[in-house]
Amino acid sequence: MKQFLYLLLILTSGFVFADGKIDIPQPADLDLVEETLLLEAIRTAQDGVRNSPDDAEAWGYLGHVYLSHGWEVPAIPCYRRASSLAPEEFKWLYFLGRLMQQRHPEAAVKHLTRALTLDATYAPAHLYLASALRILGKFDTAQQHLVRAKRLQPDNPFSELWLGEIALAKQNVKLARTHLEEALRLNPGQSEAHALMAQIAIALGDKAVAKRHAHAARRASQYGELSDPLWWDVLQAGVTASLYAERGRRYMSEGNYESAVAEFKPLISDAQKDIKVWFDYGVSLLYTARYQEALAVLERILSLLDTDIEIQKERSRSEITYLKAQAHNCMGEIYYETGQPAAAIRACQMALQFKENKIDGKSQGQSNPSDYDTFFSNVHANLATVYENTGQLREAIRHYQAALKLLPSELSVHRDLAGVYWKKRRYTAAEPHYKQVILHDATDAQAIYRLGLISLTKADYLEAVSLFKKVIGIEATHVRAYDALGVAYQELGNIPAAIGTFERILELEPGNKIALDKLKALHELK
Amino acid sequence: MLTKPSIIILIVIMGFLRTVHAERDTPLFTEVSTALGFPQPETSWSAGTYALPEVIGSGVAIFDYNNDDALDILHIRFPPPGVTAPAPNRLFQQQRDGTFADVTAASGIGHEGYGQGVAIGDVDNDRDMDVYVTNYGSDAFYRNKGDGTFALEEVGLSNEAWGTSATFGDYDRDGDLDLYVANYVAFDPESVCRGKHGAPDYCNPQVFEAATDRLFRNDGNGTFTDVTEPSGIAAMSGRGLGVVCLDLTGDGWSDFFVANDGEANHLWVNQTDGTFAEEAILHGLAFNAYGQPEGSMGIAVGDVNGDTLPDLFATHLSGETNTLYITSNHSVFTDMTEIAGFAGRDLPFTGFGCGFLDFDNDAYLDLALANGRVKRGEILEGSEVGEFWNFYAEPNLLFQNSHQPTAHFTDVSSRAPDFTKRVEVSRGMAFGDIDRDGDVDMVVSSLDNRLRVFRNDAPPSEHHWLFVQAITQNRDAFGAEVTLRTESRTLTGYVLSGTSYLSSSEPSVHFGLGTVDKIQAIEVHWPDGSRESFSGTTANRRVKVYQGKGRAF
Repeated sequence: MKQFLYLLLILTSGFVFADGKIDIPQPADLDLVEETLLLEAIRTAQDGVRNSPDDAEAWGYLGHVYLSHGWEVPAIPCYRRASSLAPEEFKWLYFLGRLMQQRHPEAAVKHLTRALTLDATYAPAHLYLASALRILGKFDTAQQHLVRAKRLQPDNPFSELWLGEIALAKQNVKLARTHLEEALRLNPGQSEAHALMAQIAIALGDKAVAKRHAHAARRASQYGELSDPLWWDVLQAGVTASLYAERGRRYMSEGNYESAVAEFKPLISDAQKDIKVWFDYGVSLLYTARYQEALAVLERILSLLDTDIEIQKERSRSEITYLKAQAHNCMGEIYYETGQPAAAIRACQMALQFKENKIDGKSQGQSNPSDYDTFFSNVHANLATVYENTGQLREAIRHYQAALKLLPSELSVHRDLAGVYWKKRRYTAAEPHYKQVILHDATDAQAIYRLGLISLTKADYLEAVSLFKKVIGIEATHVRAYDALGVAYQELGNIPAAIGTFERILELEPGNKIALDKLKALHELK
Repeated sequence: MLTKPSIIILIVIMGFLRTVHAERDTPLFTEVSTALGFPQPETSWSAGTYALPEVIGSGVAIFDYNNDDALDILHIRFPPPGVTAPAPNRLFQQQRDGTFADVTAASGIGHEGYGQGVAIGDVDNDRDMDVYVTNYGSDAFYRNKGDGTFALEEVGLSNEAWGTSATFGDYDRDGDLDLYVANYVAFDPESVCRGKHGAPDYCNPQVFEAATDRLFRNDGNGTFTDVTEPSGIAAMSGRGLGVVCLDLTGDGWSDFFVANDGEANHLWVNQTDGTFAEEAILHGLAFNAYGQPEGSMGIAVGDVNGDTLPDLFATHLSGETNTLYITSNHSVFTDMTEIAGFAGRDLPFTGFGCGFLDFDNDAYLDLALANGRVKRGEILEGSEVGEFWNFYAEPNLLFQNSHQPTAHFTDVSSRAPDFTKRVEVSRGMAFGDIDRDGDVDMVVSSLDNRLRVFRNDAPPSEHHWLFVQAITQNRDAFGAEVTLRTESRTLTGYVLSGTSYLSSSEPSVHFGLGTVDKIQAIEVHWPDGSRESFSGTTANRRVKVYQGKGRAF
């Protein structure tokens, strides 16, 4: 009954035509809006509808303007009108369905099902339909749409996550685990999947694993938003500052820093008190190689954090400390990129100074220490890179080690540290790090090759043969691996295999002198 | 042509149908606020100022403060927006004729604070109910002097943070009631928040730092010690709005479940040595089915699927499901909201007060929800709470558990128009058999400090009932689990202090029995871990069971 009232409200707030006059849906609290840009955008969109009342795009755009600014209810009749004017247009039905999915799942199912008859290839439509069906308790149909979404977008972790969730609701723990493991493979930072995995582990009696997942679940989900290209149409209609920022952040998450800069730029002025906007703008400038501008923004951030009382009031001490550390780290990157290693080292060291007092007593327990660990591990690694590239290998090793202490599973740091050890010919020290690398990335040919060489030096020829074969399996033209493999065969006394290996080198590189010499020697041995 | 016998059969069938129809036409609940003497504010509330505390609302308690076997009502009040002077809470005493009289002044409980929540419990085991009131500001403790009056006392229950819900429970099994207070955020009155369209609105709680909840140990000498730090509760802060104290992990020790707003809920699992470990994620209570945090507000507890294990329900923001967590044998809770048939009926609304109650005495727990927004939305038809608050007003909801084949809830709001027709901004909600007729009545408080009492008219005459008051140490045994064994069913209920939202309900456990009229045994799992069985009884009465007087098993 109450739902009916709600639906009635939505229906009656819509596009009623009376005597040729268009009744345009209005947000009920429009008179509270003060932003001129928004009022102008609304007026323009409404004029569009008045001027072209039979134009689906005009109605849809008005819906976009409303929806992007948080007015869902008046957006619905706009999309409905657009859909009735262009019944073969997928997007209006899709927006209607997506919009209603969170509050009116039955209506959402109707619209999304119709939308999918027009275009069955849009994965987000399947996902939202599955979500609405799930709310209505129609698990099996929801499952079918998730499977379809998975086929359309095999790398979308949401299909797996929601399939896992449905399996869990159906008490099929084993199947749930399979889906959730896959979801985590696609996005290891998806905290929702970790939360469900923790429950599964408890159900299976493995509290240690459960605790590990619970720990990961406490962190904010990385890349936690469903990718939905059509939604950009809605976002683009936004004219308030928060929407510019939202668009900027979405561009950042897609790696499109050029567009992010364009979104943040209009927000930057002396009146801007949102330090996050300043920061994201600075980072976007950095990643578009506008180093001088980025540096100026970062310096401004440090100044604001130190002097602006309004900003200081909005943030806890630990947040301010953390932001300063992040600013210094970015400055370090800029100095490094612009060939100023000494300044880069100073900036990174400044960032590290904040490490010790990263959490003050007041906020203890509220921030997740692992977020700080990730960041400071990154700063140590950056600093190590600068040291490494300026030949200060001892310092580089020290900072790579510090980075690993904070984040022991960071593969890139294992790889870099092993590389420095390799440069210093400390092969035994490099070995465990390369082993860590290949444990998680069995396709890293260089790590496997170097482990093979270490095996050779340790006279473990069988292991060396196995490793070099793996390298060749990954990279069939890896001449140095063939060379080392030939040597290993030779050491094992398998002369025919050694000869065959060196002959293969000659196939790849006719006239290869080392291979020719080896073959000559081997034939003499024969 | 109809024969005579067929006409008779038709008349009988029509008569039966008319009876059924009449039964279905009778509203399930009737509002009796005015008839019972509760004052109703004549003017609508003044416009809001977008200060977060004014939209949080306040609670209500149903309890017998003067031991006359009649339930009384304590209304916690928050001053209207823009008014800086605190609002006095009000105590209404039930008279012999069932009406209520305002006894605030005479009882001495009219503390003037910025009232939020209330916890009721006998902290000194002297057989009368003491009162703890949470405030936006310092909280207040009233000791019941046993003569119909209260004394505001300093007993070590010092909470300067923004307290919301609170609950009593004997977590350390030493025989006296300890207190857990959920705290919300460190609110900054100067913060101004705006919606996506740039117009001002109430802030998201995430704008403010989360506050640390407090745990107070009853020292048994009339005072309490703040054990928040040593107990481990301080290890993790949250934006707490609801709290219950009950053994949720099956080890016999009381745990605390805290509903947090917009972030993971907390389950403080009793480590049995005076400390707690936060394990909500491990037990499936932190997030919804998708592993996402929700804006949790109120909490309902009960065994909704008849497996003798406690299930939980938490109310949430619009666009989020109110979530039903069903427990399994290994104490992992699973979000079964959709399986339980809600079908998104409550999705458009923001839920606050809530409770499982078997309103029709059919032996299956039903559900009532008090709704009202915290962000401006479209004005719903029937909103009449003033120009400002109409944007926030929503109707309440009522669901009936048809138990087909397991817990299955159907929206029966249309059958309780007094409760669900009004479109208001409701918050606190408490339950109890106010008129002592064997069914559970409801009291709802709304943002304009209006108190609405709903008399339960739902149970058909053939449905029986039983109230069990479990008593230990002279007082209600909060945290006890009461099980009724009948020929056909085993029913389980819980003796709870604070549940719902900012509120406290009658502590006796109500059992609807359907057509069962005999109880073979009453079993109690006491908060100290012991179990006792008490002899059976007939239906339609209130019984008291005392710890130590039953047969241990």
